[in-house]
Amino acid sequence: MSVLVLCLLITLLLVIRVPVAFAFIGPSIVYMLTTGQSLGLALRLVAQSTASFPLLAVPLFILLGCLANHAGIADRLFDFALALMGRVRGSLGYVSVGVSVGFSWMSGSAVADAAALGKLEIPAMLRSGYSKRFALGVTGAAALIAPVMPPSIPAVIYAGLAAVSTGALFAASVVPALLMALGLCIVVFFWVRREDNIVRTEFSWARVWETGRRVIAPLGAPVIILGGILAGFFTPTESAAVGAAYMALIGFAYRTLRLRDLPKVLTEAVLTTGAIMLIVASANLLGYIFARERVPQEISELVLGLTSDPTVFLLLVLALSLVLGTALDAIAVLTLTVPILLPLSETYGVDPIALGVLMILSQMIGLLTPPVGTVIFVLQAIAKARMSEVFWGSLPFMVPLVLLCFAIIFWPDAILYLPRELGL
Amino acid sequence: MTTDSPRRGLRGFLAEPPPWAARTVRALTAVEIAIGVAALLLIFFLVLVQALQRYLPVEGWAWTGELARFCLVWLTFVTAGVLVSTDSHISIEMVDAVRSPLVRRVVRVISCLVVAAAGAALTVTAWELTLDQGILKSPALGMPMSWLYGISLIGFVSSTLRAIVAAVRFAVLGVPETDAEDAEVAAA
Repeated sequence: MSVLVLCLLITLLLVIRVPVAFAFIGPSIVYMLTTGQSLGLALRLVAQSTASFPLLAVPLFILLGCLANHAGIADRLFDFALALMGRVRGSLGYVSVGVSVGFSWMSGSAVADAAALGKLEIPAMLRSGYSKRFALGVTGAAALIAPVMPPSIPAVIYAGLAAVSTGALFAASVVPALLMALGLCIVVFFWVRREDNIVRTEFSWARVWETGRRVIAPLGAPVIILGGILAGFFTPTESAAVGAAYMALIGFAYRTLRLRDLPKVLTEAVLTTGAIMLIVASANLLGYIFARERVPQEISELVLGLTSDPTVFLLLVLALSLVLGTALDAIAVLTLTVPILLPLSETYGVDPIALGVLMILSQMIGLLTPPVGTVIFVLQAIAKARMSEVFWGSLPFMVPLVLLCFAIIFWPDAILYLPRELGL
Repeated sequence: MTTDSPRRGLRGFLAEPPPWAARTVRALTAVEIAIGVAALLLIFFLVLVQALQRYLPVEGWAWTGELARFCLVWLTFVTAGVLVSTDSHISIEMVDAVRSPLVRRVVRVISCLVVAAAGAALTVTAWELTLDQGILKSPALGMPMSWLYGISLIGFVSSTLRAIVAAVRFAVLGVPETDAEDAEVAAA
């Protein structure tokens, strides 16, 4: 069985709705059988890839996000941001971006962010006279900050696949995530000038103080998580466990999380982890087959024949990530492409951290594009909207995100400054 | 007392499973999720212990990291079956937007059969590894490596059975309208 047949079979299975993990495993098993290799080796490869200490951060960060979600942290952040920004024209747009930044420090998943914040923000914006497209667009685009800002689940998976420091990748992601927020705010600024029916809320220091007090403890979570990693107190995996413990304590202290809620929270975390990790595991088997068939070397020779310029190479990576990101889940794209692109990036002298940030950011844009835009489906369900409304609403917000990808390609040192300064 | 009558036929059985069948599925799901939750909680506590022991005047326990890693393997595989039944595996759902119910039905049946075939292959392999790998022990914990595959076996068996049941359900009852409606909204 050739690699071409293997890839065609995988594509066919993906199109006919076979789950990504099984679409990888099925043809890989056929390959192993037809090339006279043991299926025991296949299962050992699948199991080994998950038995990795850095990847232990995945279930723990998912648990942290689920706990933050159930503990009502999003509501507190929303109330505080609205109290601060209420009088500004288009305040709810900025609030949406700001709350997403705040929540992203506790959640590494765009879907969790969109689900938690969409329920609050979209109805509030519609009540205050914003157009539905704006409400859907800004909420969806702001949710993309979560998987870029640390703690980011795709970053943990990329670091595991590329054998780079998770802490360095986290540090390198902070600036792009903040620039994403800035870019979205600029779009909000221009868009709300056209919205005539917006209702503003009154500003009062008393309300700022009242709502501000309620977010002090939740905002300790990012200090513990990122501060713990950067100060060298914890590894990223350990910081995820400490962060989850802290979030559970906050939830119990606020009485927004009860013991009877724990089975639901834990089940949600377990099923989300299972769905993600099975793809990572199955992609390891595929990676073995690609390596055995010298696919990375052949692609490397092909691409090197096209260009020797690292910037052009990164532009090709961006195009590939954007295209694949629209058709495949981001975790699947990462697990498939990192083993091939990483050796290539070394040939071009591209820093693997910069490559990781670029790949994660560009693939997240795919969450807002059909046909596999998971965030679109979440917002559709929340707002009872059509896919086209979410897509057209979020399209203007994608412009700064794509520009940011170009900025990373042309000035990779800008994002590498922080990890280098911190000695990571 | 007609619910368990064989005269209800396969269609009736699948559309409204008798209480004993529904109870059995619920119990199996509960066992699989309980193993996953136990694995997650073990990961949580073991990693916390590992973080704390660095700052305590005690000798480090190397087995905590090893057991946590094995727990992640169990968590990953043991939930695979439940994800099949709840249709929660990550997949590309473009085909759901096809208008023809027959095409949707055929595609879903084929998709489930592919999952069942892959699950069956993994089940056989995991069984063989469970039998063969008992003599190997993990370096820190001394755990027989057969346990690693033995517990994962539950997820593979479950995936296979649940995928077969789902294939039969789709073949006999068709794709539920809610799926099609969601997809139509998505396509719009």
